[in-house]
Amino acid sequence: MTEDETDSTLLKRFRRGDEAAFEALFVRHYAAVYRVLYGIAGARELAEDLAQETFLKLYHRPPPADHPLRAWLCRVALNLGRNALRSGRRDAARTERVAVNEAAADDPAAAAERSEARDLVRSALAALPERQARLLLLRHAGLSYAELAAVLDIAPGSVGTLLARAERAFIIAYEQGAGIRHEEPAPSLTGEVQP
Amino acid sequence: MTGCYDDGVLRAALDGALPPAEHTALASHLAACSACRARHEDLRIRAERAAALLDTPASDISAALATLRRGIASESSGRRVLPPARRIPFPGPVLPGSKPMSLKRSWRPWAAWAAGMMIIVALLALPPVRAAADQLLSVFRVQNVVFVPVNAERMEQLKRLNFDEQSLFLAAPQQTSGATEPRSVASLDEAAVAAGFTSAQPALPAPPATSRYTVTERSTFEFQVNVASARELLRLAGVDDVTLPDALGAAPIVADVPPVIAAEYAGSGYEVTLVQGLSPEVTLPDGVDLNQLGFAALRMLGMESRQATALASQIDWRTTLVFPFPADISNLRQVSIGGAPGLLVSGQGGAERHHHLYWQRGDRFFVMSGTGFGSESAFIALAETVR
Repeated sequence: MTEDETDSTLLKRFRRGDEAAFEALFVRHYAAVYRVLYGIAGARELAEDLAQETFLKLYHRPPPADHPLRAWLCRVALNLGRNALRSGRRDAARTERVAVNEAAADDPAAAAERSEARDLVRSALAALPERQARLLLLRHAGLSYAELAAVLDIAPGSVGTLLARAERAFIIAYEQGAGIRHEEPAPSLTGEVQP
Repeated sequence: MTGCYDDGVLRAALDGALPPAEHTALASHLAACSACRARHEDLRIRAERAAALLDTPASDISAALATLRRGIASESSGRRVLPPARRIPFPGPVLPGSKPMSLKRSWRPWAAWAAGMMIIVALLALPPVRAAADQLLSVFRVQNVVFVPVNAERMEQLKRLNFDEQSLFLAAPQQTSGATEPRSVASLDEAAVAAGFTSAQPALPAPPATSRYTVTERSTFEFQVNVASARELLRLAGVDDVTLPDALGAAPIVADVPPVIAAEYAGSGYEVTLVQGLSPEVTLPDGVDLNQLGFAALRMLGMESRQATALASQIDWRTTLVFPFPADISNLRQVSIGGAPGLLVSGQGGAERHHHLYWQRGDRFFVMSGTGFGSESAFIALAETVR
């Protein structure tokens, strides 16, 4: 059974051409990679596309078998996510998403609210130093402290401290973002101020 | 209450990331200490809140797997030999600091060959670009370096060529004269006498507890290129607009490598090794067009024909090495050392962060490796003190 096999064994099998081993690795790690990318992209379609790209990299250029695989995948995902944001792919995806939401949502108001909440989370993450944001996303994706230390190049003993700090900063940034919106409502077309 | 725990430990405890013994000790402390208990509770609430905010909608793994299978299948059925290399950024004019040096009387025709061949060798040796760099430094050195980013797609294509790099040589590189092993010397003065030049040194953060110096004497290498095989490689890589001259393989190529000095220092919290030497002299067979070789190398890297022509004509191939590096590798980047281009590779080995830095100054090259310097900028700052 592949569930009992280590990443390293599966990687070795895949390197010998065993496609089933690759699929086992995909099933094992897809959720973590997708979570990281969703955190970065804030849009399901883009996160799914980037997750595909991440696993294509694994398919074409697998790391050495002794490499901690989940950490490797997350590192690839973080880089792809960052490049995608820089190249404006998120804006394109967002436009698409809004259009889809508007067309398909049963309740457009609820959909808009969800979309706004997601944007607040994204802005709060963007307000943090990159390492803090990455730490939050990777921890949320389920990486162990040892894996976090390896991906982020930090001492394993400092993960707890940095994580506590990142969570605090993230919540403050989120609340500030939400607060600013409450205090300064967007100008309404009718000139009425929303309660 | 004495023996209170800091937030880091309390936070790690929430994730079950403490060793069992520490967990037990913490649990009994929390039972007795209301201040730590309160902070522990705050941290727990914040952790849950953060997790809730980051909540991710579920994804359909089997649908994703099916998509991936389709992607792979369509890639392999529709693969072209050489897709247009649209995404390779044109590196622009030759990088700062890499303008041709004043050429010495002894014209050095080796660099072009080195450029062309090393690109091929480096690419075939990927992903360990560092290994390629080591190989480069042990045989060839140049006066200027232009780093050309190569995108992942092209790297993959080249790696998948299944080309045996050994077949590139009619006669594999072998050493024909000189010592093979570095020799230990007692001091830098002695190293200078043995090598024939005075070695530059970094300003270390603290006086070293131990230092060790070695000198590798002048040596000569010889090899002969299999032109048919090199042409086949270009064909496989989809480069069909360049012809390698027969002359390239008509005679053995000789590399004369001047002495190299290595200095190793270990002090409190750091270790650093600085290797330096002068450019070797390599002689190409007559009738080899340097620009054409350079153009072949750039095309091999995936650059479009027009760009390759423009860049090939800007580079002084007699003194400049084109060094390919993967554009998307995050731990490898181009840096500036006192205005000269350098290549920095950083990584983590256990708890240690290590850096390797390659740069050129005049006709001298430097490779500095070290641990205990923390950030990349601290390591670059150290390199800038090398005088």
